[in-house]
Amino acid sequence: MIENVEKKIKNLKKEMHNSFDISDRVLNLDELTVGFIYLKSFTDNLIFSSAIYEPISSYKGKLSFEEIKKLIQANDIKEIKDEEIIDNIMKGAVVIFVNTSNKILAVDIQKFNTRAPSEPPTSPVIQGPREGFTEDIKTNIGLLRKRFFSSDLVLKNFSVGRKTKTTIVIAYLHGVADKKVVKEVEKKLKAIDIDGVVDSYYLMPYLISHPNSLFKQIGNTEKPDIVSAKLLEGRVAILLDNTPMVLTVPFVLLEEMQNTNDYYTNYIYASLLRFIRAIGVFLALLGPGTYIALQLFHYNVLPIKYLITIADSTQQIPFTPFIEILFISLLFQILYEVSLRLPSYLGLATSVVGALILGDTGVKAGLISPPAVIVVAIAKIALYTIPEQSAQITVLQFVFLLIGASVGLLGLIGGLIYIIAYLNNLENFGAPYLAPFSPFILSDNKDGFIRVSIKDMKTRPKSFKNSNLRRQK
Amino acid sequence: MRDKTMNIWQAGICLFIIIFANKILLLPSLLYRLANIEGMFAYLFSFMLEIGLLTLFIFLKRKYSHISFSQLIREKLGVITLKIFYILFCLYFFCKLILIYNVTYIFFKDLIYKNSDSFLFIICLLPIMNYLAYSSPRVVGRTAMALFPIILVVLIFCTVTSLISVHDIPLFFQSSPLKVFLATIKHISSFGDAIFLFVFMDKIEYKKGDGKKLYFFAGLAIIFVLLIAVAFYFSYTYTSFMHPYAIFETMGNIKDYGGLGRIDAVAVILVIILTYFQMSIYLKSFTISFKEIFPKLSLNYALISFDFLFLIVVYLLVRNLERTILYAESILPYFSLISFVLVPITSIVFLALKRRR
Repeated sequence: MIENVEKKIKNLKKEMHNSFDISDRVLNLDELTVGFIYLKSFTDNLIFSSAIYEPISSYKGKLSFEEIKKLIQANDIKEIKDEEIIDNIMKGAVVIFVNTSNKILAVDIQKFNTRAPSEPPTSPVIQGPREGFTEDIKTNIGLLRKRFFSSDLVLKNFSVGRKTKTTIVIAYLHGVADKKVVKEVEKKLKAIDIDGVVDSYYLMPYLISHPNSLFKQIGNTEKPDIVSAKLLEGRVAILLDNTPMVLTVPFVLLEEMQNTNDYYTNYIYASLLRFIRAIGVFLALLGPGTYIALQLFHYNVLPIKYLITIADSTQQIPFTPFIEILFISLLFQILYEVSLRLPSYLGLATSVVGALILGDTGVKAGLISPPAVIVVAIAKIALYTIPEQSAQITVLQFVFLLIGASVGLLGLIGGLIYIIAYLNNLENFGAPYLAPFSPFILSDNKDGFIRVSIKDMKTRPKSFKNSNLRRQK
Repeated sequence: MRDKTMNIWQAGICLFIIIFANKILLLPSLLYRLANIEGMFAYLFSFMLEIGLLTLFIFLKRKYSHISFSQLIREKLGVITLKIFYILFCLYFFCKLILIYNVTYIFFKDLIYKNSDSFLFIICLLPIMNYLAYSSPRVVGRTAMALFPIILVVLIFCTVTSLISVHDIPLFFQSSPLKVFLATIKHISSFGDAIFLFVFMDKIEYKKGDGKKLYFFAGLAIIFVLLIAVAFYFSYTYTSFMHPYAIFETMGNIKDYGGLGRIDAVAVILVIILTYFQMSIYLKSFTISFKEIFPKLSLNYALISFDFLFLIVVYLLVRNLERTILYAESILPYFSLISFVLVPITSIVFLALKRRR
């Protein structure tokens, strides 16, 4: 029995270090004293007044704890234990207790202004849904729920972070996702012992088998239609509060070659786009390195006309080909960083200064050659055929640049073989990273480098485990 | 991770690479030098032996599906025989690696790396070979599988363009059967590559009927080798011995084909990919054999020992075409006894012992 409500409130406030946004009310009704405590910055004050305080204060008759519970006009009411009070207040609930009972009520009336779902800047579409996840996990769950009017969409929640106690929700389709994968995800998330997580990126190292690897091993997207498609394939989604980025596991490299637009357009055209994307990756990875290798080591392999053109344009350049390409690449990277962080109007000006003035003047001054500018420009544009992997490819581009300059073609091909072998070593949640190419899985290649019609995709991917292989008859 | 196995498709692709790789550069020219156009029969005879070796492997794998070749030797012939066998295997794989390195080094130096030092090739090849040899057989198999479509497309392109360049039919039967026989013996060391399967025996997943897949890949490799040899002999006819790098030379015949430009560069890329894989598979076989000789030593010791020996031998022996040919024709044929005599006889002994029981 809580005999002194005021004292209880005072103790609770002290436990919460008397933060200024803690609000309390005490209502004295004959023999009954009702105490309310909540965060005014994080709760809906209007609902508190109209649905909680007003019905109780204006009630004519004898009140008890059970009566109070009936009077409250809110949906999310639950009885909590004494040790759960602070957690509930922090999550936006109004905690109510009376002096005649030891029971405690928590009414969730959390309110926080969030933005409406809008098209995410990271994955714009030409056709197809434009909705994107927001920073509010409840909105995000709603966006998923409205795509599955089925009880098979299972959502499990828990919190992570000793200080932040951030809500995590695991979503999967019952009867489709592999139970072992779900359990493994749960186990790994529950084992996280960190003071706080502020973005889903914080969770990634805890979920993957090679946390020090350069390569991305978990899928992430801001689009609910992509998450829905992945859930239908048997994957598990991880939603974290305060971030629009939803993680999906298991992840294979092929997912980066696939784009939302592929599924909302003709499949033959989509296949062509995937082929172009693959070429883009190779150009971005090996373009500058190969150019240097050809110039330094294998000029005799070049057809004579190209050789003359390159020789003509490079003979006056004071730098070695490697320094020249490295300089242009670094310049591009600096411009990219600057334009990314500056406001858009300044970003545009930087691009003009960088691309037109610096590039053009550099060539005219004889410091850099036109072929080198073209090679770097192509490689840097090609980077963004797969924007999700642009960070990894940028690093590798510089590595291959160095290899090309020091050992030539033999080193470049060796480097490529090394990367393929390394990627073959990666496996997360039982999914080989390079599946369905190695190991080769014929049925999964229907949605690989080429895409067949949705009608012909009869089965779910075999690249990773799932409970039900058949999608359609 | 290191103990994981490769599936039969991956084993087949490795077999394809290893059978095909070292027979399309110097060999056609060398066989022509010894036996004229009938050098092609030397190919046929040697391939028959190769298929025989593969048949033996499939036979053994069917009988003893889950145990290694070393276990078989240990159980049937004792530990000392096992050590002797695997020392010979180690030597064989090491010598093969030296030969492949020599041939490809000369090829690369002549064609794409003018005036480059051997050190450049070593710092390219050794790290990748070591990494693949350190990885599990599954990683090696999967990597081969990932690159196989590229290898196949490039190979088909090379073969078709090589055959297009054919413009003459040479005269047959210019050489005696004895010359063909001698040519076969002298270059027998370029064959017998299926021996690596015996070393990998317990690392290959095998189900009933999988033998056909291995035959398919071996057959495919043999067909491609023969097609390139035919294209080479029919393109250069009586001057074949003057053109050492068969696949590159046949494509070089039509280097400015239409708007495609220097298509012979494609052959260089193919040779580079094949060289990496072939050497990695042999190094992996070397390390497995090394582990059988010194079971208590880790894989790192096998790799470090190899690297040291390799660097010393490469520094002392190689970097000369004549010396390489001499080495291949005089010393290496003896090592082929391991492929074509030692392993078959042992296998027959196992099978005879099993039948008696």
